[in-house]
Amino acid sequence: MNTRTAGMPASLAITRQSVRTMRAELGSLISLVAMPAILMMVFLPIAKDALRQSGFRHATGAEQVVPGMTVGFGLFLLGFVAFGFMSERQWGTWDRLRASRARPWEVVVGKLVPAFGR
Amino acid sequence: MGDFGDSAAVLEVASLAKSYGDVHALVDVDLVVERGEVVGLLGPNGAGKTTLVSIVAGLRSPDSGTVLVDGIDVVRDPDGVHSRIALAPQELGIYPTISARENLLFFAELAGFRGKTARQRVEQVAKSLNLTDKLDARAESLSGGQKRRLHAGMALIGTGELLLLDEPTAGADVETRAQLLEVVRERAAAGAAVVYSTHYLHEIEQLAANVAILDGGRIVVRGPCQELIAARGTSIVELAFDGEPPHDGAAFANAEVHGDVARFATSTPDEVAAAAMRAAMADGLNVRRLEIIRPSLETVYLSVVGRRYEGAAAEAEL
Repeated sequence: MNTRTAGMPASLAITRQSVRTMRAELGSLISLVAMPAILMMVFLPIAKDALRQSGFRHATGAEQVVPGMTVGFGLFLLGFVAFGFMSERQWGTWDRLRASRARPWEVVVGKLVPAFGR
Repeated sequence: MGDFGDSAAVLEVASLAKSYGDVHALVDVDLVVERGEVVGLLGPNGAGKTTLVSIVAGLRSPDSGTVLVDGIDVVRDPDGVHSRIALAPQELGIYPTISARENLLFFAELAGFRGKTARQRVEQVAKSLNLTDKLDARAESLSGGQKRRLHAGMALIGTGELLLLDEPTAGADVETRAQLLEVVRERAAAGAAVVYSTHYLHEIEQLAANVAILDGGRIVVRGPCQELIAARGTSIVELAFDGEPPHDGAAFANAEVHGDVARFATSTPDEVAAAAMRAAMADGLNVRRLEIIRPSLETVYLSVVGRRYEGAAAEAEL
């Protein structure tokens, strides 16, 4: 029988905690949000010219840059989430999490949601 | 807190065994901890204390045997057990980049508290551990003792029926230790079962805890602290020599010799110490240290394990 404590779901508690720790690492957060925008602005005219020279007369460049940046920074985000798990080990909090009422999937969801919810 | 049901036993460990390769960390360990009971888990380094705590917390799997928490098997239903325990591991485990308040709040939320109740809980625990003034400081900026209190507070903030505290006061100052002991006493009085592993024997005496001494992976003694002291706490006289202790002569006939140390278990320690000193001086031997250990948990430990407790020297300095 598993009578779990009523109250805040563990995944929500971990999500809130992940947001707190991310907020504390403001530099990484800004670079992950601002860098794609800056790079898009830089690459848009280049991609636009390249596409038009290839025969796509109405291309704006966004057709190439937006999916490219999304995939690229999506991978960075995954790295960011993975780093979050490694930090738990480094801080000695991983065993505490494992021994808490949070199930493994709740820990994963709690780590993923704030990263991809931005 | 305090509403933990009727059954007395919170933790039931039976025939527990765990090996790491050829090393037998735990051998046929039985242990029952009841509601409101504090069990002081003692033993030398490598005795199996942390392995036992880790298995009970569901962090390691046993080779054989059973661990029931509130009747729930930790191997079959670890989630069920995790909602009933609170763990402070041996190694410091805090989030250094966020505030002490946020550290405590996370574990309050993880224990199921939310909103105002969670925030009130944080204030309560911070007050009891004298951390109120430091709540908004980044955890990494706290002193060693404050970090230790925060570390323990993160376990104590929940309402777990079973508290697993693995050397929570390691490296902590006297004030920190006193405050932690007080909170542990309060939690036990409220009905929680506590497994308290420590290197400081005085803490177990101060907690008036029941004792379980682990040695070589086995529980070699189990019982109430005061009863053990009354039954097995004979005074010990210990003399350390520059070189080998004498092996003959009436004064050393009953001595146990370990290296350069001669040890007497006696009910008349002052007389024995005087006789031993006279004999040593007559033989021209240099006594480096003479110590009389009065009946205490340390003499119980000595009589059972056969060597001084590792934390005794550090404890004497505090």
